[in-house]
Amino acid sequence: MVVKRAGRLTGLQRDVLSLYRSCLRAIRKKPPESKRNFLIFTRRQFHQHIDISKSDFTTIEYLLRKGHHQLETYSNDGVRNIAV
Amino acid sequence: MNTCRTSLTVMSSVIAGSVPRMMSSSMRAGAISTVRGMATATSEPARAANSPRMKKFKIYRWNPDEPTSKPSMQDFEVDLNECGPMMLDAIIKIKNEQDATLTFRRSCREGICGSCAMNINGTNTLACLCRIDTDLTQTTKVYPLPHMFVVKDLVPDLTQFYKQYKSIKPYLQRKDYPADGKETLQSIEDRKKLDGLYECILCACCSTSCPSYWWNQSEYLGPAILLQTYRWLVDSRDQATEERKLALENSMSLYRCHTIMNCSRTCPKGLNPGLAIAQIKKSMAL
Repeated sequence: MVVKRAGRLTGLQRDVLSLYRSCLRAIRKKPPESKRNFLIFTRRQFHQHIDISKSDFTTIEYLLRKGHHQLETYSNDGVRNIAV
Repeated sequence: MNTCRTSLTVMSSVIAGSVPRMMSSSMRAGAISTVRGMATATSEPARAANSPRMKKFKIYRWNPDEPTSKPSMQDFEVDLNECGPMMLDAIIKIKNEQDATLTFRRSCREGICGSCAMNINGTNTLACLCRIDTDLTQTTKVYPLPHMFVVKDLVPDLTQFYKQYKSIKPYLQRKDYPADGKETLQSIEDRKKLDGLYECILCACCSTSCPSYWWNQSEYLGPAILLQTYRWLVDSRDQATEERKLALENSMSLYRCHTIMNCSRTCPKGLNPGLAIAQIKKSMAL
């Protein structure tokens, strides 16, 4: 889902960006040596599906749900590094 | 194993009179299997003459690795002569022989773990307890539990269900314990009150059959969880009854139940969540 007219964002686009921002905020809390790994992982997860049409609501909503689930799991303090 | 096979080949070339001598010399287990071996040798031609009974299945498929794809129904055919009687046997056979990517939950294969809950021909049951309908003219349709997010194929996402179970605090809560430090005692009559409540295996069949749960999944607890709330409300050893009742004092957690009674109809263990919910409503009112 590529954002072309960045001025007027649709609700779904705002949800995706809000998820990305939450991921970045969670990465800030991670130990400094593994921050880069988490960042690479997050960007990769979002970039994988960049080609989905912005009108394909079911897929985007599914991926948002999956993203929130993963964020909930990985933002646990016990998770200190990720393999990339 | 090798000993019994060699004795079988020897026996087949030996006349019947010397059979007792062979059996007394070989091991007890070997003797039984040689006799059994001889028995199947004669009946195999009769079994092979049976024509295969092909049963058609339509199974819901969706792959999260291709999130843009739509869910679809895939057709399978299974020979019932080569398959166990239960739906789970058929699904495992399909996974073993036809399509290894078919994904489903299973564990005990005897209806006690609750993993294989799915919608078979419109009814939520456990696949390991649901007999295959031997009418070969009908196709059996297998879907995941209705109105649940799907992880893959027949696997539903039950995290919300488990979170709701955690929220009712399904453990014994007491302020004080017996002075002698031994068990919290319970009379036989009080223990009888738990019958029909403790057997719940949390398979989620009843909750996912309730239309009220479909429309209010995040706030209504659902029949399975409410059955367990009642189990703890009616347990004489539990001292947090007032707190438990207080947690239900809102318009959504309990009172979205409109006695549709799909739950009691579909429970694969024969429990009655509808009755338990009615008892909770009664105890809340009195």
